[in-house]
Amino acid sequence: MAGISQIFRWLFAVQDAISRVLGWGGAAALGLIVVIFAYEVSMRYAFAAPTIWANDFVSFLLLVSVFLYLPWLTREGGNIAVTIVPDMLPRRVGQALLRTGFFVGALACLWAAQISVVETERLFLRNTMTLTTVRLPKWMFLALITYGLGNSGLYFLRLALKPDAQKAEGSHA
Amino acid sequence: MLEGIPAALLGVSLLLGLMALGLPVFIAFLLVNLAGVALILGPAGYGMFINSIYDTATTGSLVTIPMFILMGEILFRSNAVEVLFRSIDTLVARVRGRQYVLAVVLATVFSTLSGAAMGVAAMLSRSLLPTMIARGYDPKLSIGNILAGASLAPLIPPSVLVIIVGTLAGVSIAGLLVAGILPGLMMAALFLIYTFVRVWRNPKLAPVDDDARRSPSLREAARALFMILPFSIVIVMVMGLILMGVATPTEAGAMGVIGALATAAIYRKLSVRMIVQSLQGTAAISGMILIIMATSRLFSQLLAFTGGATALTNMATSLDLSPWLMLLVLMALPFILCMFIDQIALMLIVVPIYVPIVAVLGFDPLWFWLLFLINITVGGMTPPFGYTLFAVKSGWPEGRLSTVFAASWPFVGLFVLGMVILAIFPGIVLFLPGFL
Repeated sequence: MAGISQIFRWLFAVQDAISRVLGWGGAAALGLIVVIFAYEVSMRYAFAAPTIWANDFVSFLLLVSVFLYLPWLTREGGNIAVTIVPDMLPRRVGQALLRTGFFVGALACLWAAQISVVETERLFLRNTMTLTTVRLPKWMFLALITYGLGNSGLYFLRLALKPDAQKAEGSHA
Repeated sequence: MLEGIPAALLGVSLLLGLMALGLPVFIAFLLVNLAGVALILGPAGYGMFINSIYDTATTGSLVTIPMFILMGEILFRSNAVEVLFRSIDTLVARVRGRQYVLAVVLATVFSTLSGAAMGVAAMLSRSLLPTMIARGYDPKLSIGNILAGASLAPLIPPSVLVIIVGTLAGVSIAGLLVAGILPGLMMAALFLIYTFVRVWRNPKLAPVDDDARRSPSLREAARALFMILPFSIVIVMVMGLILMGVATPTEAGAMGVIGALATAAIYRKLSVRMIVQSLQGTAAISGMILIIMATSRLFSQLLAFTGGATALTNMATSLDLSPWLMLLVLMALPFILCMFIDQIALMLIVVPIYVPIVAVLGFDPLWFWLLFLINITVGGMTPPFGYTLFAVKSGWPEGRLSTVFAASWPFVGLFVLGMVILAIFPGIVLFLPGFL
């Protein structure tokens, strides 16, 4: 039993490390957007030489940022939730409701990730490209969506099984 | 299979029900959309589901959201807000009830930069409110000004809600951003006029010692103005570049980030650590907004598939109500719903339903969606369920919820008055966008 719990702790640590590093990648993508736009505006107005790739790349980077950061956001309980009802209920009932919500969240994310895997494979086999000026294989971006949703699903599962669900009840915007 | 209005009502009810149970908003959308696709289109529609996520997450105009948030994060961490606090405090020194002015200005600036009226209301009721009450300021008037100032954020550029509503409704984002300036200033003027009239009629509402504070010397006033000058860099970078036609709103957002970095450098707070922290904070905040948008896009498409959107449009137009009454009906629904659910979630549900109705009624889109934006923020501060009220109460544990409720009513009334003025005089909204 202790061995299994040791394995799970190790797996959780690996998952956290991957999510943290890729989350940093998601944050860096936003910095890159600023750099690309600054370059684009200055090239257009100072040198009358606008790029053809800037707008496409920042759009791709937006997707990269969202789906690389999503699992870490879920781990930290950062998703927007309206917790008025669970907050009004007795603590134990509210906790149970939140746990059920996390479990449902895990199912929804894993279901969506499974659909995304199938679609990614289909696009890869067909070699489908993005409909942008600069064409890139579309499956790469769907793979990121798969990662974001799949890993978030696993975190929701962890939150559902966590001893104190209150800690990760989500933020109320 | 359900069709038309029953299908739309079922979808909306399911969404609201799941959200009310405390499910993360994006999970509620994910579930309803997955179930909707499975029931309506079957497995053949799954590709469409993933593509709707891909399309939304790569929408160029949405890049503005993280750019505006990043700008706010950098300004927050660069001491700029504290400088602004001290400068405004100096400039409004001799006015009786000056901390009411501070409350409105700070609440507006904080919530505009952070994009979270609720968080700012809680923060100011924890920091500024006890100080004001201790100095002898009226608790209700103080709370009202904090609530009202925080709720002005969607109108003042850079506003994230403007980007969302502009993208969803297909309205010019630059136009909407610029359109919010005059109404925002008008609302702030209404709050301050109301406050000063109250203080003038009942001087006990503002402490006497405040009145005795000397006026700033010319040198002090000049220094205060000089200190807030770096803010103008950001304003020029964002609104200036949009108005001059040099940059799109998205590009202006990125240039605003450069301006914010310059401001941080002027205040000697620029560091790699600060930039990294700002980027991480932005990735988290924009991530939580954009994942909701990405997973919700299919909902409007499903509404169209089931004929729900068309049926609702037909029903609304067949009511044969006068345009003013229609406007009232269209505003009443989000006003009530916003007392219960998150503004962004509400927009994602309501905007796709409203877009065809607004087109059929012939309302000016800029004017209508700006009124809509004001409306949904007022819902958040209206008793008994407006969630910004609970944020104030959580930051003011020694106070009573009934006091917070009582404090909000006059300002809800002022917001409604402001909306009536904007409805009657659309020129206030449409004047500045006319220059674009």
